[in-house]
Amino acid sequence: MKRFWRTGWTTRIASGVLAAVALAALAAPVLARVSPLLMDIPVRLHQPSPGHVLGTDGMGRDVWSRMLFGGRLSLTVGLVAVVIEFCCGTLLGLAAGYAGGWFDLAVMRVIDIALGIPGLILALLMVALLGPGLQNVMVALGIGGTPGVARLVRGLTLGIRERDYVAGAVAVGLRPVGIGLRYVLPNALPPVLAVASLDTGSIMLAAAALSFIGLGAQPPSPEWGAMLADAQKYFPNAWWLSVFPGLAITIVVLCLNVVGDALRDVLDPHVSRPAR
Amino acid sequence: MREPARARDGRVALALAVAIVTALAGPHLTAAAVGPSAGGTFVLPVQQDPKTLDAPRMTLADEDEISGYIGAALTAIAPDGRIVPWLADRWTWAPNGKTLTFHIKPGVTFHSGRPMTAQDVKATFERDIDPATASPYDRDFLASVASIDAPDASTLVLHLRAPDGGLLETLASPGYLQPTDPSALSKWGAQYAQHPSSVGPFMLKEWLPGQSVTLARNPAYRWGPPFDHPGPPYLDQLVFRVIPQPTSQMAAFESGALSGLLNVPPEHWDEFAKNPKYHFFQTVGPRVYYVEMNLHNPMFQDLRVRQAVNYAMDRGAIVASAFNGHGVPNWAPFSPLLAGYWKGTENAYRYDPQRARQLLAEAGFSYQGGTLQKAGRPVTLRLITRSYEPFTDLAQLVQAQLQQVGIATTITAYEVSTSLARLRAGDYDVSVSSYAWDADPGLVLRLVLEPSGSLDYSGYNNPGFNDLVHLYQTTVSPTVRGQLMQRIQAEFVKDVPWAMLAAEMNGRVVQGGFDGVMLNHATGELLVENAYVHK
Amino acid sequence: MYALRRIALFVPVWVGVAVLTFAMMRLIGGDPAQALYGGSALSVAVLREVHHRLGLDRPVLTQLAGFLVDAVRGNLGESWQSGTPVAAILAQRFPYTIELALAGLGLGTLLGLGLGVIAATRQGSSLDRALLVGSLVFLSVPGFWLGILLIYLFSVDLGWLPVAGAAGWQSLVMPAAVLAATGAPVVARVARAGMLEVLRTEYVRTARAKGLGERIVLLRHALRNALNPIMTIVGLLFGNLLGGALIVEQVFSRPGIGTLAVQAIFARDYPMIQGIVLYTSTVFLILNLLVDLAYSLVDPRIRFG
Repeated sequence: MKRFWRTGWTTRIASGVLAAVALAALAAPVLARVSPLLMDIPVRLHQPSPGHVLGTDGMGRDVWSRMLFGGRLSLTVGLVAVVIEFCCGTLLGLAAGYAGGWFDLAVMRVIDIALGIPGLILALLMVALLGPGLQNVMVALGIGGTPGVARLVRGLTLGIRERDYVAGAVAVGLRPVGIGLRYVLPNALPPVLAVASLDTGSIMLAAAALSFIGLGAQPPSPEWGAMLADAQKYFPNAWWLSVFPGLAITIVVLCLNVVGDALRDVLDPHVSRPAR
Repeated sequence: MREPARARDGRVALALAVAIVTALAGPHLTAAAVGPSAGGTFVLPVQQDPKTLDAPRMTLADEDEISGYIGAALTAIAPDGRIVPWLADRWTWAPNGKTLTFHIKPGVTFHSGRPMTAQDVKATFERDIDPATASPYDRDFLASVASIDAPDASTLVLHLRAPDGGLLETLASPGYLQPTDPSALSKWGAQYAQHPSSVGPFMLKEWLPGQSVTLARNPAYRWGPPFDHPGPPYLDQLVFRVIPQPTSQMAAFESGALSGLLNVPPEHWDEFAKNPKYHFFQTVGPRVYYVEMNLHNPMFQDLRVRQAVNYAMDRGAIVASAFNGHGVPNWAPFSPLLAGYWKGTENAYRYDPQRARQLLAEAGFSYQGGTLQKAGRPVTLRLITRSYEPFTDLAQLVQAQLQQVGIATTITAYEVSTSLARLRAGDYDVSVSSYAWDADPGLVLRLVLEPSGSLDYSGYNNPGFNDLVHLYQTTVSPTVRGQLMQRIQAEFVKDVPWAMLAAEMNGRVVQGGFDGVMLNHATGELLVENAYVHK
Repeated sequence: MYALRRIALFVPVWVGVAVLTFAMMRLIGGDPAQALYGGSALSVAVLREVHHRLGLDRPVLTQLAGFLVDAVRGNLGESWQSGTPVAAILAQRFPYTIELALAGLGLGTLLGLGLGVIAATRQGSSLDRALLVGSLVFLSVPGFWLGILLIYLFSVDLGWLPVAGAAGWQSLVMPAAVLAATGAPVVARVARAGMLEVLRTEYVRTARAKGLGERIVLLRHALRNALNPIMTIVGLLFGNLLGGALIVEQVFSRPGIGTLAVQAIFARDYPMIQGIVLYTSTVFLILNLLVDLAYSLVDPRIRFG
């Protein structure tokens, strides 16, 4: 942890910003003065003012409230998708790498197949398959990221398996599942964490892109990507509609990237290939 | 994206609507001091990449838009709403209303130079309705035609199954019903779709899939309809560029890369309308938006519930927000642009949430903390719509207004094909739907509100209504048709299978560097074929 | 030996991709016949005819077998929307995407190299950190938003570049820049790491000791030796940029396969989508193969798979 903080002022600022955004999202009901869904047509498209600090949208809804509640959604999408890819990928990779043999071969081929289709096209196909909506976007992006994580974890597992302490554990007669959980997993975890942090950012961007195509968050939910996509039709007139969600996504993803980089530097100086 | 959309052959509507349509033309719209001369390239955007220009096989409104300049039709709709000759000089009805004889204008030639005969038109129409062609629209357009004769090169006889009062309007479609050049068809075979040849003012010059379709002036064209410049066109070229994003279309127009925009997003009207550099035109469009209620759901079988939904809709707020004020609240089942629109429908259901709650209570619903309940269970409805503007905005407004009277909904926005599949399967409770129609209203009412109609997704079946529509379609007398259409609308408003919301207005803009472009008030279409470079 | 095994593996993976694509197409809801007609008024009879014409009334396995056999022969069927062969459409559209991806890659690599080298020589300084964070900003902006901002700045306000289309190099500048924004930071990171590693070696120290100028040491000795990992990353990036082109093409109305793919998916044009996914994946797989082979040649310790 100390080494993480020592990676520089940028890391400290980025962590602080992420914490602040997460807090604001959690405290949304307290910080928002009105419901993010409350329409007030007569005050539609009002500029930022003391009454509506970030202005109002095309239906007279308060942009500040929508940003706060939207933050909850956007962060949730990133986190849930990452947890999905993280869990599925780690399990698969660990199992394949540790078990070896035909199982490993089969898993690796399936992974190769899944990685053979460019990521965004795969996500697009999956959302078309599952139907639009944030839940399905999370699933699609989570499953879409699984093969990459699985491949990474398998590689790490292969390396760890050869180490002395694992050989020792085998000699002592520990069962494979026990060895996997007790020795291999904790050692494979740190680099995976770094990748997960970076992936959260790229998943948030992918979710925004899907909203842009019209397959993402369903109205009237104020997910940031959907807000940004909706704001397009008022651009460049009602600048506040695109600038705030656009900046919010950029800043959060940037902070995730900075933190991810720092984590990687600290935890695993050897990984130099990007996850995606 | 568009059900029976007939973009350019908007020439197909009658014109009682003239009064509604207003043109806010720029100050120098009147002809310039210097007369028109040949030259210039006019560039228009299309949102969708055209797939085929084989007229009967077209499915996209943008294909029809392009194809309408390549083709021509037997009849045309003049700006005053009259049906006027185009490829046909004149026509006569048999007294029983079941035979329609056209006299083809002499001297009309295909783009290949081959003279166009009545036999060619007969062959075209026969191909259009041949099941093997699998035309999505043409068989509905020509549904009343039983057989076709061409006794000589200039006489075309349509034998009808029953009188068809809307046929002359329906035929005025230079896109879908354009004569096909038989020599081009045999030369290109399946590739005719990429090499169409007809008798219109422009001919296909170059087609770069995904990028643009370039049309060149047809130098032989001298048979324009009486309200148009007879031809050949002044413009050297008419180019359609594929630009999917409305934002990019506007940016391209503002940067001068486009000569016109056919659909200015309502959020941006003011910038274009107030800018003296541009000619701006506005008109009530053919597209209407409405809330479709699934009549298989017992809840909506109760007339009081349907009326309640109608009273719950604040159409003023909807127009102000979803259309930025550029729409018209609507209660009739079609756009005020169409012939036969009855003003008596207006304000049939004025916004009255109190009344809506009362009707719901009468229908056996109770309120628990503001939420509607039936037999102790809260009511939550699935609201489906399409995943683009203005559908997503409309769905949110409808959701908020239904919530006001206690009806909770969850929105899912699908792309067109899935949303239609859901509607077809009845897998929804309410839907924010839309259709565009600018021809005779009889045909579209049959399609959208009769059980045999392929767009009747709500399951509406009212024999009295069906009989009226059938009677209207087989009546030729304009006076009687007018009366019937009024009764049809009265019946619609009484039974309210849908909650109509609004008709869209279309804003169209042309660069000041071009003159001669006019609006056809009867159809709302821009007559780009008359454009010339401002000197 | 490794090379042979790696090449032999290509075949089953490719077949897997083909089957997966086919299966996903069939699982997606929505009636393709209906979608094909843009949601127009179709009677049930017309729908049935269309189903028959498209071969949708045949058993699924028959359809799959036909698809695989045809695909191997290079016949991807005909687009349901236009009736033209999918292979012909792809041959026409793919160059635009390749052109875009290559331009984005070139621009991104140049920028990334520059940033990486500068950052490496100033390792640990504020400039180093600022450069890295700065490049990350571009990695973090939603691509479609960046595109729209660029359009308004350079096309509408300044009038320097065309808004849309694919005519001339001018129309390539902005889309390539948006793609480069995602590529450059990745290259920069690898270039920086590679340079740092090389700069620490005896070899560079010797060069410095010989009194060679710092610029010559950097460019002629250090950079050249850091190139290998950079080449690898550039190869991998190319595949990512192919996917990224999907959104960029939408924003800039380019006629490439990204635009084609979105339209085809919405229209349920099965042969078209299958063709696009298969074609892109094939290019992607071949690229991965080449990168892996090159990698194993350079570094004999590496043995994937």
